Amino acid sequence: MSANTSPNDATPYELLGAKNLQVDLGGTTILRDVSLSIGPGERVAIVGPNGAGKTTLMRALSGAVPATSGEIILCSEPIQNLSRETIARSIAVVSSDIALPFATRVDELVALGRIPHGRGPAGPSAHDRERANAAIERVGASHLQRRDVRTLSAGERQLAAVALGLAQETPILALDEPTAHLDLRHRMEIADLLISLAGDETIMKTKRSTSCATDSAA
Amino acid sequence: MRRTTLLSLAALALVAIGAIGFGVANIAPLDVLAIIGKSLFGLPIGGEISAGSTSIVMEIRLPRILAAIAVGAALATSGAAFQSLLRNPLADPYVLGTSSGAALGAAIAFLLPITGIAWELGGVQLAAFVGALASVALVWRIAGIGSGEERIASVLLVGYAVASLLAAALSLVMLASGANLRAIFGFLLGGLDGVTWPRLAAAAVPITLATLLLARRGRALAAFLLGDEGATHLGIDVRRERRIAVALATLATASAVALAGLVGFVGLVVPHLARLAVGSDPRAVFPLSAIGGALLLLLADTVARTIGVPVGVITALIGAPFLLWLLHRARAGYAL
Repeated sequence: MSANTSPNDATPYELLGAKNLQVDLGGTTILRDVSLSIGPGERVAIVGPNGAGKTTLMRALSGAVPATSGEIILCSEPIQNLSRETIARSIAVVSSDIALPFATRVDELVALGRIPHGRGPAGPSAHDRERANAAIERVGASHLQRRDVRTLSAGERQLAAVALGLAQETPILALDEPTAHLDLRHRMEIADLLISLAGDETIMKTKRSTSCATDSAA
Repeated sequence: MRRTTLLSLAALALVAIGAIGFGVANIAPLDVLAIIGKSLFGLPIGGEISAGSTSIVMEIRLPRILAAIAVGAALATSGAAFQSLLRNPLADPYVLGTSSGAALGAAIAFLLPITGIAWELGGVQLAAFVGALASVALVWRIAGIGSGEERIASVLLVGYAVASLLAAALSLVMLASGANLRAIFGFLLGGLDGVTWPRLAAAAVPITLATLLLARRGRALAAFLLGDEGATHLGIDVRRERRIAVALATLATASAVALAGLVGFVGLVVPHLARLAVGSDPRAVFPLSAIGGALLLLLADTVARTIGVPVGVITALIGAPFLLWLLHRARAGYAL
């Protein structure tokens, strides 16, 4: 990756941007004329009802679906110039529903976030495990470390999902509906967690309801 | 994890040496080592070993034991790969129709008037191999594997439909086979009788190559735990990696089936055992599955040749109750 200027530069450094973005899927226009610019350390919430295109926007911004027209800039580079691996080291996208086919411990799941940093056929290194455990600690889920992800409650699973994104150690952390299926108390807890994460990550999240957008977008 | 793998590798080596010596003519483990050392590496050891023992070890038992190891490792590794790829704990190496294709290919070969040299070189094995590849190619084509449009459920359904169709064709061929029925039936049961060095080499080379290359894709297969979307966000080219993994797992399975016929349950059960020991990451599951599959088939084949039944019967006899036990534990709190 070429540019990684400091956030303190005179001109604000654009970490993630879209210009006149249009995305068509299966002949239907999902996103039209979307422009945005997100800088380092920002906390951004994308709010809209079901079917508004929040998830598609997030997928387009992470290169998982191609833009029909317009431009996406990730870390000062047009996204089409970046390899999938480079993108995965720049933006972590975490889905709200993690469904695992086999019994998997929380620390094993979170260690999967180290995949973009790995090389060769060996499993997670000691360093990777350390980083994964640090991510679990940051979300306050150390007590869940050795539990099977599939036996966790919805709220606990969201914590594991956020830890998975953090373990990817990217400048941008994108969460797709991180508070879906949660009651109000757990929603507030996740929101507080996202605000309080004492890191430099830019955090982007999508949510349906507008009721507490100001709270959690911070 | 590394310790588990090394320990099981040591166990495999010990069992293999024991199994080579075990049989109607018992040969002590040290003599087995001496014979192998002398015949393969020209080591000046074991002066008092009879020519008969040497010929039993080198011409009959060693190729058979190596075949059991290769086939067991191939089936368990490709089983682990298909379970990860399709995100389905019930997937096995035959999930894309490999077994039915191979069986049909072999059955047709038994009916063809091929004799002499073609037979010696493994006409049936070649036909089984081609049949297995053809059925996977058909499933691949219909389900659109690697097109980016495929749905996992539809891959499984297409695999099932193609396998059923081939099984119907196999029944027809068996009806028409007359005196060859017993030979075809033997292939369906799976067995390692009459493995020769050339046949072993023909299967072991692609098996070794495919399983090693598959193990190298472990990072991508680990990402598949999170599904296509999740894997994409971890930097994996999902379509490309799926094509590669299906091709490699199919090559290993087809080679194993060509050599040993339809040996069931090894590819289904062993990966689950490996996951119990080292967790669900394919990078840990692959090596342990390979060793565990080799060990299981080696033990099953030793029992099989002692009591004189096809090894596929033994693996089903061990595997089916074992699977039921695993499922029972699943209800009691442990989940596959």
